[in-house]
Amino acid sequence: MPSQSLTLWQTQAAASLDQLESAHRAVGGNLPGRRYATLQINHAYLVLVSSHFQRFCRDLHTEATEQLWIHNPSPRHDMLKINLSLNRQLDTRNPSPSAIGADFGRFNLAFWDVVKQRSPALNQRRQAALETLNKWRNAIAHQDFASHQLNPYALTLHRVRRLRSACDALARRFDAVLATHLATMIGMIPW
Amino acid sequence: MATRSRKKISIGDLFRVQLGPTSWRARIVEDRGNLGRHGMRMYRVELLDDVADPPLFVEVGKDELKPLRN
Repeated sequence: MPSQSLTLWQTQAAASLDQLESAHRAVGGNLPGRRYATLQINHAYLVLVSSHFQRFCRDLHTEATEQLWIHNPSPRHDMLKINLSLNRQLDTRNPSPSAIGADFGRFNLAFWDVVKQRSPALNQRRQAALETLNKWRNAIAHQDFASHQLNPYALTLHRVRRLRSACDALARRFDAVLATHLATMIGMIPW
Repeated sequence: MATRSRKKISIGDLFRVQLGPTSWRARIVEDRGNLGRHGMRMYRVELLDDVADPPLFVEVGKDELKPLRN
């Protein structure tokens, strides 16, 4: 069974992102201006992918923290909660590999190393895709492509889909990594 | 307990949160949804502390929010 966070990513977030796909299709025809309109949709689509993925990571972190908190019998389990959730990077920063690694590293695991224990080459490419996603997100959000050495016209629908697909695979892998890791700490699969 | 009242919890509401030995005044900054144990509503709160820099944010369950005593 997946975590609630993964279920939300695969249902609510997916539905929101699919609306951008529909919007892209709706801007049809060959009239002048179509290319500009679809470009803006591609930019919006990419930012939404990144923000929904950030939401997923935060949700998964919260869910994992709650699981540890419930199953920790110590009278000082509040301390556990504080140390896990206090000023998380994912609450204020992009879902970059470094922010994800730092926040999930609080569960006492070398997060990305564990993620890449399975299909190392593939997951390495997905991690790189996440870096690319965040680079585009920053460029679009700040409308500053030059300092990121990006060409705004190069963001095609195909490219956004590939980045979304990488996030989707990472979400499933994060869910599995956390479930396995928490099981070693609480003695049961948490979800 | 705050949750006994039917009043809806809103962004900006103030509560007291007990974390370890310390009782904090806390302001709701985000409704995080039903991510807690057994689907409990979770909230991101700012712990109000005059000296904390940067500000302190944690997540707590609905049942951890206690009313402020005046």
